[in-house]
This record gives sequence, C-alpha cells and structure tokens, in this order.
Amino acid sequence: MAPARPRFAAPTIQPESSGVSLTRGDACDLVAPGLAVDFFAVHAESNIGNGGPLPRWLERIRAEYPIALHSTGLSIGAHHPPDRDHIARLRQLIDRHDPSFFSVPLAWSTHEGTYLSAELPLPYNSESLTLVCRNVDQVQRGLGMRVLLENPASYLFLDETIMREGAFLHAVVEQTGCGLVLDIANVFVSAINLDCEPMGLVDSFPIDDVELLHLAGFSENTDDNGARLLIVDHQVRVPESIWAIYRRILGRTGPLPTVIERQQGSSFGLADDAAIAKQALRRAARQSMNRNQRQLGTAP
Amino acid sequence: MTRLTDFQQGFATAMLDVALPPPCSIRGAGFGSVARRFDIHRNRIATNLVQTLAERYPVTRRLIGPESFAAMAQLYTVHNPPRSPVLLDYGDTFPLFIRSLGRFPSIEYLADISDLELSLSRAYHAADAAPVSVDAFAQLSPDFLEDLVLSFHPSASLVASRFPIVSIWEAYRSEDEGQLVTLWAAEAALVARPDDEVRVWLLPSGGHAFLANLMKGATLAEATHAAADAAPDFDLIANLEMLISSRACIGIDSLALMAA
Repeated sequence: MAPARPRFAAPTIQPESSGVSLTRGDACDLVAPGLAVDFFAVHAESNIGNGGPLPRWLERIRAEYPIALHSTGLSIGAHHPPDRDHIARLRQLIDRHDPSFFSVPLAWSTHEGTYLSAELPLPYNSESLTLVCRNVDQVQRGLGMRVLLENPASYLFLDETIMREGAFLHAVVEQTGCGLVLDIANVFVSAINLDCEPMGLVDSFPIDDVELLHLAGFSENTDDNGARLLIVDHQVRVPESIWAIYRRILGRTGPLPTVIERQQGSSFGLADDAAIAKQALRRAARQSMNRNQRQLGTAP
Repeated sequence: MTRLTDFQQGFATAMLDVALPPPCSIRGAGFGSVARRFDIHRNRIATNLVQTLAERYPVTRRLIGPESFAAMAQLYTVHNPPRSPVLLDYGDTFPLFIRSLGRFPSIEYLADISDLELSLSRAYHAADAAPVSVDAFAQLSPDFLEDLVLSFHPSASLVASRFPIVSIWEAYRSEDEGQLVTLWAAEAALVARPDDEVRVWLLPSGGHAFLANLMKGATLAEATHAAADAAPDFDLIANLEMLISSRACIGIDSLALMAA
C-alpha cells in the first residue's frame, strides 16, 4: 500500500525535536496545535495487523508528524538468530510508515518459540557480543534500515558479565554500524540497583554513539535485603533526578531528539514533560551555537 | 550449546515456572536472596499478558470482576505463553480455556460471551475489503436468486449460544451498570467490520443456520432449506434484509452465471 504522502515531503525528526509515546487512547489529546510535541514514538508490535482502522490511524498521524518506531519483539540479545517472519512484518511496517528511527532494547524476550513479553537481562562478555552483533547485522539487512540499540534497566548482577555496558554497546556500534538510544531512566535505575554512582555510569556511556534519548520515571522499592531497588515506571512523570542528568548530557552533546515514554492510559502531564524537554533542547541548541561561534572567533 | 544458551534456558525456565527458584548465576547487590529482583521480570510478563487479555475480553472481565479475571487470565498465561511477539492475536484460545474449567452453565455462559469478544477483536484487525453495495443486491435478476453464492468480508464471523449473549454484551459493554436482560433466550450474532467500526447484529430466528451455510459456500436456495429445517419460523426476507444492511458481503456470484 502506498504511503499517505510522498516520502520527500514527509516530516522528519530534528535534533531539537521532543516527542512522546503514542498509544491509541491518547491520540486525540496529544495531536493538538500549541503542544510541544514534534514527533511520536510508536510501539511497532502493537501496530502490526492485517487491516482495520489501526494502520489508517497511524497513517493519518504520520502524514502530520515524523515517527520513531520501537520494537520489543526482535529479541536481539537471544542466543538464536532473530525470527525472519517477524523481520518481514516489521519491514512492511517500515515501508508503510517510513519512520525516522527504529530502535530495539539490548535484551532478549524469546526462548524456544515462546515470547516472554519482557526485556530480560543479557550477560556482557565476548560470546554475547558476537551473538548480538550477528543479530543486529541480520536485523539491519532484513529491515534495510539502521537499528538503534537501547540500554536496558538492570535489576540483577549476572555472574557471566565481564564487560561494562557502555563498552559492550560501543563495541556493537563499531562492529555493526548501528547507533544507540540512551534511556536516561534506565541508566539511573541500573546505577542505583547495581550500587554504582549514577553520574559515573552516565559519564562512562559512549555518548558520541547516541542518536536518540528516552526519558521516563521510576518507582522506589527495596529488595529482600533492604537495599534500594528502583523499577522503571512508564505511568509516572519524569522526576527531577532524571531531568538533572538529561540537562547535563545535553550540555555535552548539544540537542538530541528526545522521547518521553509513557504507556497507554497514562498521559497525565505527558505534554508538560514534552514541553520541559523542548525548553532544555532549545537551550542546548543556543549553547552549542554560542560554543561554535566562540570556536570560530578564536580560530587563526 | 553455548554458555548464553545455558543461561537463557535456565533463566527462561525459572521465569515461566513460579515454583522454581531464580537461577544461581544471578545476584543482588549483596549476597542475600534475589527473589524480589527476579520477580520484577516475572511480574512484568504476567502484567503485560493479563493486560493484553483484559483489553481483548473487557465484558468477560466486567462480568466476573477484575480480581477473578486476573486470576483466571494468569492461569491461562502460565499454560499458554505467547508464541509470537505480536500480541494482537494473543488469547485466541482463552474462550476454549474458560470452557475447559468445568461443565457448569455459568462457565458455558462466560465462555460464550468470550467467544463473542474474540470475534470482535479479530474483526478489528482483519484484512480490509470493499462491501457489496445495497444497490448491487437490488439490481439482481430474480432468475439467478436461487443459485446465488455470496462471499463474506474477512472480518465476518458468527457466534451462537443458548444464552442471550448479544443482549448481555450490549448491557455490559460500557463501564456503566448494565441494564437487566429480561428475556433469557438463546441468541446468535453476526460480527463484521465493513468499514472502521466493528458491529454486532442479533440474528433473526434461523439466521445462524442460514448464514453459516452461506459462509460455507452454499447457494441461497440450499441455505434457505437448511435454515427452515433448523427453525420452522425462518423468515427469508427478514434475514436477507439484515444481511444486506450489515454490508458483510464482499462478492455476489451465481452458479448459473459461473456455468454459463
């Protein structure tokens, strides 16, 4: 089926773009003039169907806004190669809706034909690096599009992990030509849960490979031993601890397109969070412009 | 067999069977139990799948209440984990599962309602096709009527029950307190999505036999005979009117024309 608009005219995501997760129930509230929403992050697997109003609904959104597709079903961290049928379905979705980005979590979610419907943790070592690179490579060839790998939220130490997450992700980028999504809530939550200093973990992230940022909130818990345990929560607003890291990262990278993640039925304050991100993005754009001008001014 | 295979095998097995302890290659921040940390992943799977079923079977859930539904759905997910990362089809066998819980009228009734909801959610994602217009039916020559063969929209399906499933579904489809269903009688439904909206038609007497035969490729004459056998008060005109106005047909053919 032909795209709703010719490709050259379709809007694309810019460095200063701020976007939000789009689910069916929220569309009417969010697709409104005057909101700081420049694009939508769309869950790929929720939009694969034979027909019906859903693809047409997405086509209408796509005619007005660029989209970033996020897929949770490819199981890029599985020991087995990705499912060819699923790659073919995603390719159809990409051909129809022409997303600016296509991202997947660095995790596994399938095992022996069962879909586990969660992002399960992957040990970081040379064997898993080889397998992830093979899987990313197959997905990129099958989709005809670059993939962005997203850092996961960690809740557990894995005995078999011998590499740091940042080094692992950077190695995959080097070997496959993919890019990265930096999910700031996932980094923060992982740091607390694995007893690291959050800023230290952020600073060790291969920031130059990052093309898209994800922001979300979390809930406070404790583990069996009374240690602080944070759980990523896509039903709440982005807390100040995450905004602080976000501003610090933008200070280093300049503006990077940013998604506020939220699940269906939790749109409270979503447009406000998108507006806060937009403000930070504009400020980062001004700062990097000033920096460039200063550098030009001091050039011989 | 690789080390990653072993790790994922052990992790996935423990993920799916709550009676098993977490694998021994994982740890928390200290040396104590990792149960709560491991349960974050277990809970996420359960929550996602129960939520998926709740979205596909909202009236079934409303009829038995959210707690009973969650317990039933969780039991289903443990024995029927999804085989595909596309969850639009997940829970196609949920009505069958409900039916397997026991031979009681209350179970049968709930399973029948969930059958109707399954038809609705399948119709929503079914392939698109252009319905035959009402005019096209009006222009049919009476000579060919007996040999008429119809093809149906990919979204079209039938559901029948010895309970008033359509009336109950109508009464409980919104969050508001449902009206009482006064006439406790068998009902059958045609479900279809000719355009964007999925619709449910309560079938007249004999309508289920009539449409079931037409959907199998029977001629209009054959389907009429079957319907009259099933229901002595079968009204062909009323059934045809309902069928034409439903716009659930996408093609008209005549055996006589095809032979010619």
